[in-house]
Amino acid sequence: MSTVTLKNVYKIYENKEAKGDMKPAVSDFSMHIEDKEFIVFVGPSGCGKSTTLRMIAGLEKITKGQIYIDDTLVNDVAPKDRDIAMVFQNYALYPHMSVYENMAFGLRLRKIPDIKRDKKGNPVLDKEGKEIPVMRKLTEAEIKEKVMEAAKILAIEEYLQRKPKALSGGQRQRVALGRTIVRKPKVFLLDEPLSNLDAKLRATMRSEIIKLHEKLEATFIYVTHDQVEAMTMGTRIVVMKDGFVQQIGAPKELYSRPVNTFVAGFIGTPQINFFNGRLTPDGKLKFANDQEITLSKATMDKFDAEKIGSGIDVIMGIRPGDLKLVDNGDKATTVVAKVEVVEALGNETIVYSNLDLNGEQSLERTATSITLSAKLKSDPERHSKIFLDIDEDYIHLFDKETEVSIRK
Amino acid sequence: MKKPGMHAKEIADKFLTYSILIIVSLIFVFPCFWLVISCFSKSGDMYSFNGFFPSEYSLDSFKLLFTDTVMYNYISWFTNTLFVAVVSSLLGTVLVILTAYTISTFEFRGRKALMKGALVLGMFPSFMGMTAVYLLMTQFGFINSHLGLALIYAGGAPMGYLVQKGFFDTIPKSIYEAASIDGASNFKIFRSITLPLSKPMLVYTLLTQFAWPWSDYILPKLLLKDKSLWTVAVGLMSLPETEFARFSAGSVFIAVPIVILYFCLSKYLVNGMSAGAVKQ
Repeated sequence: MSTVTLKNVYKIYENKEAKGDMKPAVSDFSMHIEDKEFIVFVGPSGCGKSTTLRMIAGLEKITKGQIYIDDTLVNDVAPKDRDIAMVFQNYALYPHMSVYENMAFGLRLRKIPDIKRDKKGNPVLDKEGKEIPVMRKLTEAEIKEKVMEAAKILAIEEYLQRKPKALSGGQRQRVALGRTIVRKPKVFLLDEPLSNLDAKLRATMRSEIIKLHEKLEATFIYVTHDQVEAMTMGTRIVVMKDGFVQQIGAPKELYSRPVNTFVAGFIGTPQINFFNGRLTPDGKLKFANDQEITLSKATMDKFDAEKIGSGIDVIMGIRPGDLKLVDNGDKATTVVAKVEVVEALGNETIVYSNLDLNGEQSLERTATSITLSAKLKSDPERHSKIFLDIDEDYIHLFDKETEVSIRK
Repeated sequence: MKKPGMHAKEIADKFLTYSILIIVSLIFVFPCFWLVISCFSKSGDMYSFNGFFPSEYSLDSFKLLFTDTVMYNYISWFTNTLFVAVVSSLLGTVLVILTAYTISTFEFRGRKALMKGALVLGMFPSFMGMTAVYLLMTQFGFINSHLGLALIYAGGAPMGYLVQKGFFDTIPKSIYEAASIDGASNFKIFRSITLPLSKPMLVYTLLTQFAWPWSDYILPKLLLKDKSLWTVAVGLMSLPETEFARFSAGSVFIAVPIVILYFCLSKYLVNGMSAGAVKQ
């Protein structure tokens, strides 16, 4: 049973060489993590996600703010006394110890509460006939039992006598997990644990970690730069950029209701289509130079009329999966595009096309590029004209200046 | 596909490479060879040599080295040197390893300045401080003391911490962090994680800390006044030219412990302990 609470946490690295430039690595991070949650911190490299995790672990000092584990303020508590466990990106196994010793190392250093006993194991009582509480180390038998239990969960019993260098990447990752679960800590911290594995193994380990989380019923905090990992593993996701939290929410929520263009662009593959445009209160949305669609009243009601006013410059976002290939341009939400590249992946097809029908084909994405991903019966020809219908239920509109969503 | 003529070119290449290597190795090996040969000179006098080589050979010089100890007590020089070298090797290694570990692992005020200072000070040859060392040793009553000599060597050893620091720098920080989360104190981490991982470095340090006092001349000459306390280097230098064979024999013989040490410890010198610790 354990919760983690961060209150206005800041991390500023003091850098004497860059005087004046004191950009915080983490700014004003506040969140409450419930017991048994699987929280994922996600963001591009340098966004402060690992730093936040390391502050929770106690490996980095907190510049400002408070971190609580359960109800205890842990700002000045040493890592070993926080009752946490951490899995590192590079595994950080002790190379000179066997797998068994790697897992037993932490147990050997721990003390557990017990009562004073004589040599036969009977309790020694004080004058008032009460048991005397003492702290004692775990016995070798107790350590063995715990290690074997963890080894069984992770299916690494066969390798217990091996040294880390005789293990494959996936096995090492399991040992690193094993080292954390033997101690049954309050909180598990995982710092990009899968990024050193190949794609196939990563998918396997991903589901294993999800199962492990269910089995252990503990609080997990997981750091990754991979949005697929974040979407598939987290019960809630924290999207970070430049030290600031952008959005906290369940995977579905981030996908369907991103608060700003960064979150919209970061979550989802293939990437969301963005267009500069202008929206007027009558529902007319002009975008990508000369395209125009009309949004229904029901859709317009979802957006903040006050912000729209008499018209607003917007960034329109529509996910490739929310576009539909249609036969004609009869509907008010249909646009015409010229096909540039078709990628048939088997289960779905990704069509890269351009709304600028007469323009030269460019190698890069342009302001009028539009991507569609769908299950198609027959793939469109390259350079042919297609009609794309925009599903207005899934249209995302952001204020062009602030890049913040104008949804109510 | 080999081009015709390639074969001849390869042979020429190899010939050139080996010729250069042989010439270079001759330049290095010849003095040693000459030293060994001159041990076996019968007369022992350098002036009786026939060109480079002695005119007559015998084992007399080795016999004299260990039996004729009235004037030149080689055995006692040898044990003196061994004592100084062993003590300063053990003490020096502890100091070097601790210094290097501290500077590699911990961030503390003045760390950079300390490192720069050590670098600059290290550029001066150690005998520049001879006068100061002599005065200090007089104050502490360490003139004519082997322990005093060993202390100077051990105390000077941390100046050469850079090799060891470089080694400690290669041990990933995350291993230490994992251990500290596991509940280990700094000292426990040093003892259970760093030291076992550093066996090759420990051996290297022991050897280098042993070799320096073993062959040093200046400091023992400065501090050891009593003839019976001399080390091998000082003692041998006191031999007259007529005893050249004995000088050579003494020089050859002091190589023995170093060679034995090297062979005993060479298996630890093989690196590779930290392979598999982390994904590179």
